[in-house]
Amino acid sequence: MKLLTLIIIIFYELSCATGSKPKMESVDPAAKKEAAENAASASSEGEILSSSGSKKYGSTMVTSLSNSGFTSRRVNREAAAALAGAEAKSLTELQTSFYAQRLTSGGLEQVISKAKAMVAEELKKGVENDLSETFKLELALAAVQAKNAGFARLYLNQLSSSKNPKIRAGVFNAQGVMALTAGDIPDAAALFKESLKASSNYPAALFNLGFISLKYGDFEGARTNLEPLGDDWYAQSGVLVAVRNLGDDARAEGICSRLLAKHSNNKTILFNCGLFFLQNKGDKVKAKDLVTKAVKLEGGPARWDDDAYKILEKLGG
Amino acid sequence: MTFLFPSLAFCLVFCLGLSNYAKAAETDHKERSVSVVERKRVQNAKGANSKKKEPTFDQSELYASKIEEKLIVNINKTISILETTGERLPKKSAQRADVLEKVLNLSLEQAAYLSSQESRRYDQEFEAWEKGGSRGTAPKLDSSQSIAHWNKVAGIAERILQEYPKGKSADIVAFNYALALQFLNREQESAKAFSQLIQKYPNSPVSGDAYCSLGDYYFDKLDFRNALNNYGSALKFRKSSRYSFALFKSGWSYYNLGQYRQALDSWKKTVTYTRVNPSKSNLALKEETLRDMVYAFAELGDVEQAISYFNANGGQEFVGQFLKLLANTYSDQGKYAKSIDAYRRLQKVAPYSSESPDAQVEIISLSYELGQMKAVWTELERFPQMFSESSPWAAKNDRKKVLEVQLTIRDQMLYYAKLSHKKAQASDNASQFAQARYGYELFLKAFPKSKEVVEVKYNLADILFFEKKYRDAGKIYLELAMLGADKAVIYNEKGAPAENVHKKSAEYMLDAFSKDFDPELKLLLKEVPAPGKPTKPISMRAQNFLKACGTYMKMYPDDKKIVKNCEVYTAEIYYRTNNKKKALPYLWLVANKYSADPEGKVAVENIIPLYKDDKKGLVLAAKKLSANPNYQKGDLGVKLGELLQGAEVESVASEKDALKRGEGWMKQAEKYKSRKDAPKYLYNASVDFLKAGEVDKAIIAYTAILEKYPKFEQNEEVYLQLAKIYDKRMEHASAIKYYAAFANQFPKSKEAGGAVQRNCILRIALAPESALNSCLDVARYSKEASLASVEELLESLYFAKKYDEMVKIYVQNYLPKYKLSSAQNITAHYRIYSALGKKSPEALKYGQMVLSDFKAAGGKAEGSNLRYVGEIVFNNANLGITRYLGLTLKGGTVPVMQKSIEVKSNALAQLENAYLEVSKVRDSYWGVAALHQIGYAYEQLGKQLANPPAINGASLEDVKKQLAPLSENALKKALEFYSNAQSTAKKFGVYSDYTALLAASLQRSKAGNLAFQDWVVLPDFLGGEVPMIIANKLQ
Repeated sequence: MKLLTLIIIIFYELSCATGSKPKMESVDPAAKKEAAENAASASSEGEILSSSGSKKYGSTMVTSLSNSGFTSRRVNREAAAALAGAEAKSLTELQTSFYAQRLTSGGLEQVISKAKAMVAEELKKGVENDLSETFKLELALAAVQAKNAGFARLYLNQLSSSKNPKIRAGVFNAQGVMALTAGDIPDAAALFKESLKASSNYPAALFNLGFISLKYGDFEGARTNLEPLGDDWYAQSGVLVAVRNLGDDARAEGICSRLLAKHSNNKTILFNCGLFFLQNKGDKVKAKDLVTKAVKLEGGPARWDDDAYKILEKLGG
Repeated sequence: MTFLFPSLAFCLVFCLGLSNYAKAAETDHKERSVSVVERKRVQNAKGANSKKKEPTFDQSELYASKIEEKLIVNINKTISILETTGERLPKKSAQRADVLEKVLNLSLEQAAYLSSQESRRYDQEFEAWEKGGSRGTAPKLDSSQSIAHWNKVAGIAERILQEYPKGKSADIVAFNYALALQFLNREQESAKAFSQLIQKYPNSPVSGDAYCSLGDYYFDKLDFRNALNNYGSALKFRKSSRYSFALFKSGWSYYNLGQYRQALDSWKKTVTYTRVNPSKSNLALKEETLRDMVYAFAELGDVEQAISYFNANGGQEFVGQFLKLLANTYSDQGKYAKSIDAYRRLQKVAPYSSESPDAQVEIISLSYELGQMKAVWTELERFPQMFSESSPWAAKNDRKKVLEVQLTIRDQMLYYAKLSHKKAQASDNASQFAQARYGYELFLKAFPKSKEVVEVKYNLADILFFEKKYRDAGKIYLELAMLGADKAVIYNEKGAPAENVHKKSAEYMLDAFSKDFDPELKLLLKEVPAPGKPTKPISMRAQNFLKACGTYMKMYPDDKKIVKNCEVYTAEIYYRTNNKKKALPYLWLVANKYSADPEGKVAVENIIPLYKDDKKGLVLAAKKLSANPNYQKGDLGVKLGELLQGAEVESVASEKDALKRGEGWMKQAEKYKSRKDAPKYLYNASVDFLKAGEVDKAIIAYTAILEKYPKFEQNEEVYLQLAKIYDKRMEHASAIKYYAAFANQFPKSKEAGGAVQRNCILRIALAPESALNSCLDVARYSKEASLASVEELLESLYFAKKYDEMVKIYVQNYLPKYKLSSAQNITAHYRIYSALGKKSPEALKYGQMVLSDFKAAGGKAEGSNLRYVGEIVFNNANLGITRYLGLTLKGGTVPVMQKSIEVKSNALAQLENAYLEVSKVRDSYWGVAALHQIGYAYEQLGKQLANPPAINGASLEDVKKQLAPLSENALKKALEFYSNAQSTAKKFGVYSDYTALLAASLQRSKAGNLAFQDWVVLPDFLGGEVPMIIANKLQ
């Protein structure tokens, strides 16, 4: 963190000064002031603003979506691709297209291309304008998705000092994901926690930290992080594992009941509830039924099915 | 002598460009050399060419008068007849003697007559020569005609004397012979002949004449004593025809001997004798004697006696002459005051005499000689009063004389004025100039309409000019100029036009008024015009100068030099008095008319500020001036061009629409691409394009600056702006290009380091494999920043899992090139260790380096580094667990079993010790793992003890029972380690594979049904701020 800070300090002037030099013979201080005000307003917490200050969307935001089919926030790639490919006739449409493009995980270049178009639009309104931090974060996320660590860090480093806590939360969370991808669990966990320090209910960090806790045996930690995510089935699936392993059978049963009612074809829910009925409730029939259903569903690592078959073997028949 | 515009010297410094026409402004105002010849006073009585030192009445006149009495007619014819007759007559005959004597007498008369004629002619010529100012060679007596006759006389007389030596008229013939020799300038022979005659014929009446002639001989030889003796002898012959002449010449001999009283007596006797014997020749001699007596009277200075004598002897007419001569005498003697008195006496005694005006002339002259200029002017002033055409004097003198006197008066006035002027010029004496001015003014008063008025005024103005009375001089020059070219003429003494002074008068008028104005002009030219301020009044002197210019230009519109100066200075005067209305037409006139000269350029320089508040007018003016090729070059061309351009620039700058403004700047840059400001316009264009949001156009403008004006002073900023713009637009390749160019071009810029580092960072983002050099390059500016940059590169490579490149940079650059801390070394060595797979000898080598680094740091490390150290220590410890887990209890016999238990326990102890090394590192992450592994080792031991192999001779149950305490103890220990690990993990938030194992191990240890086998999907949630409306569409 120390090193990053140094870089940021050195480039603070460079990155902020574009277009701010006065003309040779005429200076327009008003334009400069306007840009400064815009920059200030753009950093307001909790809102998405274009750098020109206009509100483009409502304040209800979704802060995490995933391409994983096993999570509750799976992106509909087809829909995203359609949206990204649609002709953008306004800045709003361009922004929509930009979001969609990023979420398709279809390639960093396309995202950058749309970002350039957005920057061009912003610059038309004033040379001091820039992509909002939100969009820069999106760019960084696109780079993380594309596993382009260098490009991701270009923006993440810059945004890590944002005054907007949600931006900072997004940055630390993304850095956590990068660490996770690199196999650096301790750093990933630390960064997710840093994200939650910036924004205590930051859903992505809650999810990420909750499931890391879960995966590495911290059931209480998992429950603590996942419960605030409410009725989200994916979060609930994590809570299920946590409470089951903590011996909270009643809670686990209730969750299984709700999840299975709505997600009867979710492989992990079927398997984990099967474990619950087997280990917690001693209901081998129910367990056998659920594990059988789970093993029949596609997806997941091969180890899962091995585990499932071993259980089924024990259960006999 | 002077300059029309002396202030131009000042202008050399002050007035832009005016210096070049300083020379052109010089006028030819040369001091007019006064045309007058100083009239020297003539030494009348004793001057070299004076005839007054001797009597003017000579023998020839005597004989001539006789001849005239006889009224000779056809004398030559008669002589010819008589000569023919005489030749026919017999020699020595009386008849022949008579004829020859007649021939002799006629020849004598003819010779005398011719001599008289020659003498008269000579007198006339001499008089004329004197009147003409005695210029040139003095006339000479030409006796060539008479000489032939005198030779004839001598010849005939000699023949007669030879043929008739004792003839009755031999004395007379001998006399004529001697006389002829005398006229033939054979003086000695003549004197000898006269002497022989006197000796031979002492009682002859002609002996008296002979003595007289001998007297003349000696007189002519200036031997006045012998002359006087011979004249005295001659006077003994009272009946001699030359008696009166001898008296007369005796007087002159006395006079020349300085015996004036005796001379006067001789002349008085001459007068008395000739009055008593009033022949025509005597009367002539009387007149001459009375006239010559004045010399003696003059020498004696007895004025009253002289006047009395002349009045008593019919010589009233000579009183004036006497006094005049007396005055002349005094004058010749240098007694000027007495001379003046004599002249005044003359005027008093004979106020109406013809000499009276001459006396006035002399009085003036003598006063001048005495240096009494006041008297000179007083007498000159009196001159016309005394002798004007309407004066009593004029009434009593003939008209011719009166007119002559008028001319004399005018001449005298003019003469002394001019003479004073000339002397003043020679001496440069102010008082002399003042005298001359007085004289000229006197003249103008007396003769206001004379022909000389032009000359006098011209000279008077000249004097006034040099007396620095420029305005007065200017007025007179103006009067002369206003006469017109046909009348402003100076005439010579003969009255013929000598010089037309109209142009010079006009020039000098301008010069004088210029001089009069000059002091003011100098000050005026120091004035810095303040266009827009109130007009300053123009002084009288300035007005005079302007009027003079106007007058001159009307008179001599083709005098380009002066007309030019007038126009230039008129413009200057109005310009510097803030009289824009009047200045502008003249400035434009000068600018248009003299565009090829410096004055035109100065006018242009002056025109420009007058349009200060009239930008439209200024632009029009600049356009008009720029159309003139002479104003298209040099600094002025540039200035006008800049004005025009400036107007265009202002127009562009005043455009409120940033885009249009930017386009305007672009046009300016294209139009004036060779001007120094062209890159500024491009710069402004780029700024305005940016304001207008036209980033592409801004980039074009910026790029054009760099391409076309690589030396533009703002290129440092341009490079950086381009880099930043591209950076902002995420055109990172271009941004890299310009950051690099900026750093190369301006390596010493305070932002060069930042640019190089930004270049590195962007390269890391785009292509980390090519970023190394640029990141290393940051070291030129900051080693620390370079280190940070390289670390950023390493981080990116790490996250990108480009381990080979990462290791290469660590090994080849990071570790050897930077001074690293222990922490940095730990990180680097661990990253290499990790990248190399942690197991290979090479990897283990770096693992050992980590431990060495840790040791070097005093066993202290933080964060990840502590974890790295812990991991390596753990991994070393963990190498033993496999072997330990492979140790099983052996049965058969108790000792064997006991031995195997001992072996396992010892192994456990060793293992535990090894894992406890991890705890010494104080890394919770690997500490938890170590605790788990120890717990797991105990658990395995406990489980093996709980399920021992069979012992021969003992039941399994007995064996189990025997070993149960050991087993329970081991399991208990296992649980303790698990619990310890769990609490540590919880405390430090440790998440690892070992915590997952720990969870399962704990469940196992608790002997429940639970086993952590759940499927957990690790999420990849990247937190963004995706609007719900979009999220809903995409989920």
